Amino acid sequence: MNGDRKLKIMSTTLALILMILPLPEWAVAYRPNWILLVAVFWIVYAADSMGITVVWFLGICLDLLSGATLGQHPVSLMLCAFIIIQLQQSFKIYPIGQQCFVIAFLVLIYLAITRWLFGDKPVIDDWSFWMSCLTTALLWPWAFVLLRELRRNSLASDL
Amino acid sequence: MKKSLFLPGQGEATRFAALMVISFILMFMDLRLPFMATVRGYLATAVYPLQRAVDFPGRLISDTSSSYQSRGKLQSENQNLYTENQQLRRQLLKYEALVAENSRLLQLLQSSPQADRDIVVGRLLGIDMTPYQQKVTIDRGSRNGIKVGTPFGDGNGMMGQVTRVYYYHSEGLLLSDPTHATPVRVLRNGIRSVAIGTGYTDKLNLLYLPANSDVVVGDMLVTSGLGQRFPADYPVAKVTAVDQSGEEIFATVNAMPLANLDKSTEVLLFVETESKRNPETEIAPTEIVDPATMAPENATVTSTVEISQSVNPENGVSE
Repeated sequence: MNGDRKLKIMSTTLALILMILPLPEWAVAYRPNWILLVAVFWIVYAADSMGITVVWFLGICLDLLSGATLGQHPVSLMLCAFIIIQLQQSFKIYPIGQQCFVIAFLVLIYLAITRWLFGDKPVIDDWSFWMSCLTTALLWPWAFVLLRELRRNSLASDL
Repeated sequence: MKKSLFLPGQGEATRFAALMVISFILMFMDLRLPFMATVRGYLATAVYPLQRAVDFPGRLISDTSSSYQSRGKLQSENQNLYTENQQLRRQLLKYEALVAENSRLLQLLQSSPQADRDIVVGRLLGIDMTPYQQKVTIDRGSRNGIKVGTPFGDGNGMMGQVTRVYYYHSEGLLLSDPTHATPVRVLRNGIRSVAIGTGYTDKLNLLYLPANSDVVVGDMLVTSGLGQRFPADYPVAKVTAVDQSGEEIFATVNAMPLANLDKSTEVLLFVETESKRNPETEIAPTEIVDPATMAPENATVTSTVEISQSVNPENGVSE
């Protein structure tokens, strides 16, 4: 198994774990959408290996781990992935601020779909709806730099 | 060929549409078809290692911190535990006598004693607390005797019930989930109600309490045992607010769960012991029979017909 592939598996596994890590109640609203962060990175910077099928598989794993209805997370995750696949070429050359903005927009779509399908009351007035967008967007530059450096190292070691 | 499966390109949109449809069909199947529970059971067991991995850092921290503690702290903790143990033992002395008395009285009433429950201690592996659902994952599953509906709690009170069981782990719904209703009664005077979750861990709503009912702030709510899910008389919540302004037919009553729904990491699962459960006697209504007319157990059939018909119709039909 080459280093790039190993890094991909490790980062997605870690993202899955972070998504279900128990947090105190006040912190739940701030939980960044780790899986989306990692998926976006791999789609944009290693498009040949992270397609929509892998994203679907990640969503199913997340359903199983969180006890959600099978198919709930894949729907929202795939829609976000599809948008980013379409934006892929231009997203790479966006300034970092604009990238963050796109990420926040993706999280909004993600949450809106999940809650539209499975929530039973209006949730736009709920803080967790907005906080998760904010934390995910703010984490993007760090996640991006970290993953890029790790990937460079792994690619260099493969040569 | 295999590599092309993951290549972006003209096939991406088709693949996206196909997987989207598959996801929607999966959702439908998961919600509607009962056999999906088995499929799900196998799949969930496959990803169980990840669930354990979540628990690992917390366990590591608690293990290391417990093996590196100062002598003084351990001594004072030991002292505290000793005094607590003494107190609990004193209470237990009375408890044994009360249990014996209770079962004797229940026998006099020809009512079956409550099924005994074993307590299994589990750890929470995951918590999913959004306002629209409050779920936990527990590291005990069907191999530990957990079943769907097994209630769980912490040292202070009830926390919820198990909704899905896998081989190694299970999923539980907390009392505070908006879809969860707990049959309760007020300990002070026995008024029955249903405590429904609000989506917030510190608040339950009591339904169907008439505006003039005798409920005050501070009242203790215990499980009523109705509905056959929760064992009777376990503490659930404390009443925090009562609004009986009289404009509505029912009073608005809020209560706070006694269990630390958002802080507990260890839970007690009340597993029913197989041998003592007898569905016939459990469903039978508790009739109050005058002890004078009550026949001893080895009496002839003719003298017990009247009683056994009221208590247990299965055996009573002799004519």
